[in-house]
Amino acid sequence: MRRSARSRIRATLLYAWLCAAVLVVCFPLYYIFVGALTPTAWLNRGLEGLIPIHLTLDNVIRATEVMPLGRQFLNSLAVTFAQTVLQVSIGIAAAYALVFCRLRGTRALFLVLLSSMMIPAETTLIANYLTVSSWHLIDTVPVVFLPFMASALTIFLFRQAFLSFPGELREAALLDGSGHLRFLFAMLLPITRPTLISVTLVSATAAWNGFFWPLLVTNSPENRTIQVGIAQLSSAEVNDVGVVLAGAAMVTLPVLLLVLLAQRFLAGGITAGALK
Amino acid sequence: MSSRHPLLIAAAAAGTAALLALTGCSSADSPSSGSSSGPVTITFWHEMAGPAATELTDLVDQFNKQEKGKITVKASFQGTYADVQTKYTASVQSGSTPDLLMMNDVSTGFMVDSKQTTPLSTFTAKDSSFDENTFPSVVRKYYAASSGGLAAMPFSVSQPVLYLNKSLVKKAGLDASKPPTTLTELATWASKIHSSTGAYGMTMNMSDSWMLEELSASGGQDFCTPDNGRGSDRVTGIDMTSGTQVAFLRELQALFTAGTALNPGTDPNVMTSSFASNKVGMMLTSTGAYTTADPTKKTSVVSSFPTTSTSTDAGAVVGGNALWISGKNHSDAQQNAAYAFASFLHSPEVQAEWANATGYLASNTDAADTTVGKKSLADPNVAAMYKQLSDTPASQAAAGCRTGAFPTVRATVIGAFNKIVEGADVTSSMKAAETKSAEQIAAYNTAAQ
Repeated sequence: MRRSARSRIRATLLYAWLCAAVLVVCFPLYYIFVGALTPTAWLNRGLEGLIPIHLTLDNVIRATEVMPLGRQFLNSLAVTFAQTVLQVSIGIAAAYALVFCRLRGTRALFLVLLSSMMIPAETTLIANYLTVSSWHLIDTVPVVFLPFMASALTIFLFRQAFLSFPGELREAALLDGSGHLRFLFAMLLPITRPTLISVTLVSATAAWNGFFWPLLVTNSPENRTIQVGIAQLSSAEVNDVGVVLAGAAMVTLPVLLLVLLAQRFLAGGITAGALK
Repeated sequence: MSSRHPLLIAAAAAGTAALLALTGCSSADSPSSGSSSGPVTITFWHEMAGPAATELTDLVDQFNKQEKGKITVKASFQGTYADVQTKYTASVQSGSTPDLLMMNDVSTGFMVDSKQTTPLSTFTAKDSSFDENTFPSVVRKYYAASSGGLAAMPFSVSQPVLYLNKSLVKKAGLDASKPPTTLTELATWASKIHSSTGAYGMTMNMSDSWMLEELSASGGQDFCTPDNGRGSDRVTGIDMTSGTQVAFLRELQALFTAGTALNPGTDPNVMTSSFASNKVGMMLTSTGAYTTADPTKKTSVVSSFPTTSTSTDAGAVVGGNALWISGKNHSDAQQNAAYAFASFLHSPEVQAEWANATGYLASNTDAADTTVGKKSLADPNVAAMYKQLSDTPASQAAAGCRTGAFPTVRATVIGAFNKIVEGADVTSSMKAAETKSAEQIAAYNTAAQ
């Protein structure tokens, strides 16, 4: 009797704590989405303005008037898609070669790849700019993802996943006459699917959130990504909170959907390789 | 196993890559470059966001309509001033600078050192309609070229001012119509407000050392040596330990350690929103913060920036931004078109509109006589801002420091000040900052030569 009373108290406390945590995590999201649909005049009144009773699409419309956000949204989608697909396919190919092809010097090669992860992106920024500029690619959409076609992190994550693949299975497949591609698509990728999905998600989120490089290499509003577009909605001194939130909501929504749909894979990806 | 397979995979990957790069997007329309005969298209980089961006876009459209068939300005937002400095450095190296560039006050040294621009005086010398006296004298001094005339076209102007919260001042038994004029008086007021209302007495912009430079200037004291960089020699160091400066630093230290002054950290929005919500009695910051600090324009009194000595050189340094015309790799037609646009932005009507929409001060004194200008000046707070601007002497101290090393120096000095407000010794902290700044400036000077 006493035991169950105590466990009930414990459960109540736990739920109270969880509710508080949910509130803390969800409030910013609530603020973004309700704020995006509430006139700035109400938002400036503080908490009472956040009761969703004055909803209107005004902020969203005004945000799209300032910047071609629709076009920039499509640019962001294209960039994210291209960058993710390239990173993942090149990552798989490179990791496969490193793990299964028994090439000479793979260890040294792998170290070289890893060392590229240790150079801060800021230091290669100007060099990359000069390269793409001499190719006359400045102010185009492909230049936004071009330098990120391959990523050492992606290769590393795939390598770690491939290393844990049972050698017996591979030998069995080879004995049955399977070639590299067949083995890759029929056995390796299905078995390492959690890594595949989480790496894809991490790459896609990074591509979607990119800011400084896209800002640097594009000039015309119609070639920019949405992250750069919404930066212009907010100014340090004078703010139209509603319009800024409308932009923030447009940027948050796709990532939020992606994360909600695939969260169980995402957590796996963050710790992938941690136990190796 | 043969070596055929890895090759195959590599080829497949490369193939997919090429295919995706093609399908990914192909909407690259090349920017048309201006030729000397036909219509000229010029690129204009700016850093305006929010309502200012909307206004600037309107002004560009207005100009393009007016110059239809002759000049087209393609304006594009390039992020913050710091972002643009990076991008501009990269574009200098690749020879793709914009025809016209908007840059902030403290980047003036950097822009002059870049040697990429044609001084504005080259164009104004040939332009009979141009009148140098339309600029407030301190603005002219700020953007002066070493060869005489102006280096760039001043566009937006701001100055630091003192904001007083009417209701808190009244509660403390003080008279907002006789505001403090010196920093010592301000400190007395702050203590009174704090003790009688419980609210903070004062706050000031602490995102970088800007306020400390202003307090030095308003004591007639140079921030940089030698001669604030306004003489023939480059700046080699900073001065933050003169008698005037140590005195005002001690005064501020006392206010902060006693809890009378609010330390807003690096976010100026914290400062303006606490002022607007009656948590602080007085605030030292830019004229540009007026619309956020007092949206109704009725709850505050704007007064002159306090002085820190009785020197006749004392005056606040102007902030804001200016328009730089690129010279290197830009044709005469492009440069002239850029000058035409810059002159348009300087016209009294445009300046009055711009000031009204953004909260900046007009850089053309004739803007006061336009319809829009007269309407803005009807607000006594706005009138007080313009009075301060026209009263500021064109002294070396009020002209402010000019060095391309400003971003690093500012970080160093505010770091030292943050220690001071926590109770560290004023003189030794600032001495250390002076030594470090001198090293940073030396490093910049070596790189810039």
